[in-house]
Amino acid sequence: MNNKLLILIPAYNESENIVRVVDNLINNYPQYDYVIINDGSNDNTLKVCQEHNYNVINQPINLGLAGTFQTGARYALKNNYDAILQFDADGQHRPEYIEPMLNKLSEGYDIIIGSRFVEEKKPLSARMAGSRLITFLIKLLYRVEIKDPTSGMRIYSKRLILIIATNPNITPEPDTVAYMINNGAKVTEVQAKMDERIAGQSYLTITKSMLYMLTVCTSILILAWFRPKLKLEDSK
Amino acid sequence: MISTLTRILLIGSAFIGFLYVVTQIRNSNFTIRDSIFWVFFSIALVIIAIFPIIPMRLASFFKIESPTNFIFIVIIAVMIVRIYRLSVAVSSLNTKIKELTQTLAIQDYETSSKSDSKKKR
Repeated sequence: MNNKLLILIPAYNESENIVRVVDNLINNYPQYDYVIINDGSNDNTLKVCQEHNYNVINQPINLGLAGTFQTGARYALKNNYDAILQFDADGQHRPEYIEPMLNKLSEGYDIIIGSRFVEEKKPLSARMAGSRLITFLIKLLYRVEIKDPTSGMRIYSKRLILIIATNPNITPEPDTVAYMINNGAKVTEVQAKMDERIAGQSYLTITKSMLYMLTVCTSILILAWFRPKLKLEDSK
Repeated sequence: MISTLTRILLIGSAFIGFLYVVTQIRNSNFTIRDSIFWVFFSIALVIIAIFPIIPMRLASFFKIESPTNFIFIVIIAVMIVRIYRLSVAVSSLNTKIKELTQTLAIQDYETSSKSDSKKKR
């Protein structure tokens, strides 16, 4: 089976990390195609990418993660990729876990999550409280246990790429994963270690995190009942 | 005291508003993130209607004569804030459209005379 994977690297103000991350991919994992999507960075992320001759799609305006990811999905659709991988530009994700994740794709899964907590325990911290809540909600409503729902390292199968590329409510967020499960998508997790951010700044603040949790929980608890059924076609 | 008619109107309009939001989300005209305000606004109206003691207590606390007036004032205040934030958002969108148009225009102009010779890694 053809498993042509495209690694999508949304990048917003990651000039301090992008070279380390992408050089690692190019040198050690050349079997995967990648593309950086610059989300209107106002530092010199774009310039750094161009100087190193990286594959980069430049968005002149900041769209946020969802819009940026959708840009990547549109590119993947246009170029007939079999799967897309969401990969952080800050170096928190490790490419050595891509291969075990890809193997799950051959088993017929639609969403493969690189999860920190398949074999290791989720720490009891304030940071993980949100993750615990989301895990609980998804288990309560859909009887599926996603141990690391907020992990940003996810592979999406070919039949989801069209939906991601065209539907503005399909975002790389846990409530979309829940929605997909509800529509028959097969979701699984693969143990993956992740690193802490070394340089640069995360765009998440406390207010943004709380708003994020509010949005995700409202979407899963309330809005999920009203969302339309998706037709997941078998495109092989 | 809040009349039963007011309470019915509150619940009714909250219900209709919520249905409208949901329809727009289903038709992909409204993103979930943008709809959150209206979801909670509808829920708040329903709560006020079901538990009139809340606006009654708050009205007397703020020395406002009638709870219905209090509800009006609160809704108006919420709407003012909402409209203000929307104005700011529209202004920001206008700037972005301007930037996009300029980028696209210059890009189109340069593409017609530029030869593409960059080698990609």
